[in-house]
Amino acid sequence: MNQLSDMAVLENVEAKQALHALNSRFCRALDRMDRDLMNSLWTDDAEVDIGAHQGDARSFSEAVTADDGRLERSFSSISNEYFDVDGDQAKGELYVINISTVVLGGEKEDRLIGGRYLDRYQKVNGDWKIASRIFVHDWNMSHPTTAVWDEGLFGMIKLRGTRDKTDPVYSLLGG
Amino acid sequence: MSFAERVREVADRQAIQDQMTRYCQAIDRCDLELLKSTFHSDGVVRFGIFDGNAWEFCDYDIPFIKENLVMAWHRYATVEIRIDGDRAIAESYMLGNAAAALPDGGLINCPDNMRYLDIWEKRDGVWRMYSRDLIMDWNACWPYSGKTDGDFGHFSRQGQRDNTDLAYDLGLVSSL
Repeated sequence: MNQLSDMAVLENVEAKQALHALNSRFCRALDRMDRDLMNSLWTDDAEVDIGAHQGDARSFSEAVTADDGRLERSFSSISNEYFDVDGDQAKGELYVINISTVVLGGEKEDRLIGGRYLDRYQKVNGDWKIASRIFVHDWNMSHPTTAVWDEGLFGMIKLRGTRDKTDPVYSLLGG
Repeated sequence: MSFAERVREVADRQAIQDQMTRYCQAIDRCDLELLKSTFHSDGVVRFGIFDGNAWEFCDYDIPFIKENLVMAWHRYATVEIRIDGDRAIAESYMLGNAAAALPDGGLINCPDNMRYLDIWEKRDGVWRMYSRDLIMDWNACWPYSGKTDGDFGHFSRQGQRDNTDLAYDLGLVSSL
C-alpha cells in the first residue's frame, strides 16, 4: 500500500468535508430557491442532466430557482456520500431524498423521490465546484397532503421553512 | 493556515458532527443526561414546544416525548458547519418519524422534515451547543401501519426508548 504523506491525508479529508458542505449548500439553494447561492456552486462549463433539464448549469440554476407556483415546499436531504478525490478533481455518488408538496389544480400532493446524484467536481481557485451532475431516479411515491400546521404538537413548532430569503436560516448564516 | 490549524479544523468539524449524532441518540433513547451533555448549561433553544434555557428544555422534553410519542426516530444529514475559532454556526437537515396515540386508542404515524439551526461553542476543549432552533419544513399524518408479524416478526432486536437498547450494551452511547 502506498504510504500517503500527512499532508496528502489531510487534503483528502479536507476535500471530503468540503464536498459534503458543497452538496449541503446545493440542497439549501434548491429548497430556498436561492439563485445566487445556486449559481456559485458550479464550474463555468458545468453540465447537468436531471431528466427534465439537460444542459448547462446556469440555465438549470435559473429554472429551479424560479417560482412557478406549483412547488409549495421542498426538502432535499443527502446522505450515503461516496467521494473519490484525486488532486483537484473528484467524483462522487450521493443518495438524495426529496420530499415536496406540489399544488395541482388547487389540490396539494406530497411527493417523495429517492435517487442518486452521480457527480464530477473540480477545485477552482481553492474552492470545490460541481462540474457535472446526473440525477438517477430510484423510486417515488405520492400521497394526498396530510400536513398539520396549526394543531397539536406540530402546531407548537412556530419556526417554519420557506422557499425564499425569509427562511430562518438566513438570520443565522446571513445573506 | 498552518498544517496544525488545518488538522484542528477538520477534527473540530468531526467533533461537532459526533455531538449532532449524540443529540439524536439522546432524543431517541430518552437519555436526559446525554441530551444535556450536547448543550452548554447556559444554552438556549427555540423549539416552539419549549423556548428558553437548553437544560430546562431537556428536563421538559424527555418526559414530554415519553408521554406523547410511542415511537420516535431522528436521522440527521446534509450539514453545513462554519467554524470561526471556538465558535461555529451550523444548519442540518433532520428526517424523523414518530407515532402517537389518538384519543380513541388508535395510532397515528407522522414522518416529519425539520432543520436545526445551531450555534456551537468549544469550551474547555469540548464542543457543545450554545443554541439550537427547530425549523419545521413538512410533516404528514398517516394511519399507523407498522406490523410485528409475518416478515416483520423476524426482526429479533427491537429498538428501545431507554438504556436497555442494544446500543448501550455494545458501548455505543457515551457523553463527553
